[in-house]
Amino acid sequence: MSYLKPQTPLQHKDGDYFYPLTTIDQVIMEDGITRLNGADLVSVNTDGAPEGETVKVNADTLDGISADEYATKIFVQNKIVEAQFDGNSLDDVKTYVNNQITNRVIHSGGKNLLNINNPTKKNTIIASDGSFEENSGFMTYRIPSTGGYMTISFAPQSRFDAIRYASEIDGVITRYTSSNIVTLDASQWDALWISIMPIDDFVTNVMVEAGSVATEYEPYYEGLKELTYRGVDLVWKNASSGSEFNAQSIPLDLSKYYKVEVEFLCAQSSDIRIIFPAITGSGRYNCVSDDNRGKLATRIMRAYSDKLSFNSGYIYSTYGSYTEDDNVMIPLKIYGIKEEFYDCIES
Amino acid sequence: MIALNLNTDNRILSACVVLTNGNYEGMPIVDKLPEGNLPDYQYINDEFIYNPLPKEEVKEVPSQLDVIEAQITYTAMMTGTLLEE
Repeated sequence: MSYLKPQTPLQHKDGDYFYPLTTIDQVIMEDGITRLNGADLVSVNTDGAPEGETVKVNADTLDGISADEYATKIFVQNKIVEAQFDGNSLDDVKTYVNNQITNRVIHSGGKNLLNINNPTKKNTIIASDGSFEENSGFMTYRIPSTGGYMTISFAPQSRFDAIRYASEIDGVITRYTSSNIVTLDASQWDALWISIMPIDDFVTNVMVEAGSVATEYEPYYEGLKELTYRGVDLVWKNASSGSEFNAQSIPLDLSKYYKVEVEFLCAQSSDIRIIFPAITGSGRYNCVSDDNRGKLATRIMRAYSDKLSFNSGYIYSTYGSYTEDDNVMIPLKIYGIKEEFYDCIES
Repeated sequence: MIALNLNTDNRILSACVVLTNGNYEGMPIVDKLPEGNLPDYQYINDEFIYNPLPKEEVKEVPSQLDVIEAQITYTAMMTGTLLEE
């Protein structure tokens, strides 16, 4: 097709990184007309005109997603790819990742979702200013240069899991140096899995201070990649996090998951998030944080094979009195964690 | 696309983004949500009905310490042993 504009993957442009997120063989317009085929390369042009027509993407090629589910939004791990036509030609195609327009997203040819998000140039995914960058389900952290160390501040529960996982990998890890802070000597571990993944805007809970990236630490990063794609699924995402969350059961097929990890917003008055796990079929879990006003915020949850149940939220005062409050401990996202997730850690 | 989790009287308990690997059998699917607090709405005949529940007066449940302190004070008053400040 003459209007296609092939572009080179992983090209750095205007300071933004290029994410080759997904492969498609077909794009179907709302009117059902196929405009692309497997030989076509769809690229992104941000100069498009308005008045968009949403493109439907044949998801058959998207790593097992049913062909019947023509999707206007394709979920690639935690990232949403949305292809949209703004006019009559592909010059007007825009693509979005997490609602932010990006250089280009979709291209065709042989790849699938699981490997297409693996960057081939590691340095393009690690930020040069010392911050981390999400990469499809986990956080990538800068690894300090030789002789350095990295200090990570966790929300309490994240810290717990991160330390546990890291310990399982290597068995040696520096313990807490103070509340909510752990110092890791990079020479002591092979890979670091910052628990609970990382999530679109799960930035406030984890901070990293580190030196520059050294190429000799790239194997760590490779290890992180390997841990990412096995056994972790996003199974639920709150579409109205600003609403109260009353006691309820959310129907979910959790039978294939060893446990769930639930990311909570601690309180509507707060932007603090925290993640709690619950092992499927093993009883109740009391999730405790603070409400950003000096009181404890709690909510009990329980994972069954077919649902995840939440009690009402509660606020506790210093002396133990409590009130029901469904504006605290709001579930934002739920991840299912399979047994194989632990297999890949142990390996 | 958004899936609604309703209770028995069709009041909205929560709403989730429809994921490609999810199963939303029996859950209404909508394109958008109403403004405001979801539990204030019912979803009946494909329509959002604003019908907020009356707000109950928030009562703080006394802790055991509160109860014990009250009992001690009461006992002291009845026995004339209340300490003067």
